[in-house]
This record gives sequence, C-alpha cells and structure tokens, in this order.
Amino acid sequence: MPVRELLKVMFRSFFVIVTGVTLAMYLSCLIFYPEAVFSPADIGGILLVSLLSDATLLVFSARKELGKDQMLLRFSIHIPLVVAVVLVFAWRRDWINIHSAAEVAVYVLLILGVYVITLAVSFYQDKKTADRMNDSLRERYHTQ
Amino acid sequence: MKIVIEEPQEFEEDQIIFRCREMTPELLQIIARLKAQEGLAATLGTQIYRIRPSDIYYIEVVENKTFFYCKEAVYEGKQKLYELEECLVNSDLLRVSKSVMLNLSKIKCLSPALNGRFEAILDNEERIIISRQYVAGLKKRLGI
Repeated sequence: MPVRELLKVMFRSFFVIVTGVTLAMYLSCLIFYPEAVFSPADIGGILLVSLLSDATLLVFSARKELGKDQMLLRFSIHIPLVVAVVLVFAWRRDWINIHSAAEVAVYVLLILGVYVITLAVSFYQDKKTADRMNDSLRERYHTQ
Repeated sequence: MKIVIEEPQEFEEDQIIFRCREMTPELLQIIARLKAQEGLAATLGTQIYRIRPSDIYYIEVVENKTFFYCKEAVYEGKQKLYELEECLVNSDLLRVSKSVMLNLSKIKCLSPALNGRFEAILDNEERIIISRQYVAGLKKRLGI
C-alpha cells in the first residue's frame, strides 16, 4: 500500500486503538490492580503506546499492491511486532510485572483482543461497503 | 462549438463528420474515445486484432507493457494506462489500482481484502485487488 494511503489508514486506526488500549488497561487493572489510580502521565502513556502501535502499520507499506497472501504474511510479522512494542512499553512504564507469567499472559491476550477489535471494526465497515457494491453490480449487470 | 445531428438517408450508414479549422486536443480526445468504442488495437504474436472493450476482463501494465486479458487470450496493446483511461471513460472499464483497469461487467463479486482494499472475483474466477485509493471512484461509478 502506498505510504499516503497507509497514513490515512493509520489515522483512522489510531482512535480505535486508543479506545481498545483504554479498555484493555481498564480490564487489566480490574484483574491485577483494582486499587490503581491513573495520573495524567498514564493517560499520556495510553496515547503514546497507541501511537507506537499505530506506527507499526508501516509494515504494510509497499510500492506494489499486495495480494491477499502477501497481506497475510505482513500480518504474521505485524502481530508479534505489536505485542513486542506494547509489552516493552508497558514494562518500561511499570504497567506490568514482567516476572509474573500470569500477568504477561493476560496482557498479551488483551493486546490480541485490541488487535482483533481493530480488525473487526475495519472488516465490518468494508463488508458493508462490499455488500452495497455487490448489490449495485447485480442491478447493473446481472439482472437478466 | 455548434453540434448538429442529422438523420441520414435510408441507404446511408451512420457517420460522424467533424467540420473544424484545426484539430484541437479536445477533438482528438473525442475521436480517440469514439475509436476506442469500436475496438482497441492489440497484438497476439505477429497478428494485429481489434478488441472490443466489452470483451476485455481487465487491462494490466507489467514492466511498462500493456496487456488486455480476454476470455481466450491475452493481447498486448500499445497505449499507456492513462491514455486508455481517457479513451475508455464511457466504457465499463475502470482504473482499480496503479497498474490495472477492470471491466465492471465481468465482476462476479467483491469481498473485503483487509486495510480498506477489496478483492474482485471475475467471471473467469481470476482475482483482482482493488486498491484503497480507487475505491472511492468505484463507489461513485456504482452510484453509492
């Protein structure tokens, strides 16, 4: 995907990621740190980690249009990259105890959850568009 | 410019006559479009053919060469993709990515292909990726 188009996707994804990260933070605190208090720095951290996760979408940048298989390959690179970026960020910010396997596992699940939500929102919008275009194509070309 | 439409005599065939002092770029463009409706010149081996736009499934540029993909064969054309785009503006062929023009009447169905792109499955089961930046044009053409 050309970089210009990718930037549009990144802009649209950013807000979905912020929502997902906020939800994941809420759930992880509910499970491990119910007494946690959020500071303005933590809110800044949420925005920053969302921006960093968003930046990893540059993995999809390509001069030529990617086919479905090439896209799946990029996804298989992108998912571990996002998990690594967010885990390192959370560890450096003391959001998680990296020595607790249970905490890391829940955190990874939450990251994957946010990933799936972001994909699902995008897929749902595209599916609706595809259905409308298919209806229009049927009306125009296949109504004999 | 004055436009005159006359009914020919019964024994005469339909014809278009341009009465002008000079061939302006606009007139040349109109002539190119009219000629394109009759057929595009293309080669297959050493033979030259005239291909009707409605017979083309898609046009693709590969390494600066233009190819017309039809049901039975793949022909090579001389025109650049942007020239074809101008000539075929009134046909069902529409630019769907940097290197492809797709015949909308040959699309069996469309499906999402991740990241705002779509995949068109054609009547001959070939699959073409519709780039995100050309989706708006496709939606407009389909009246969405």
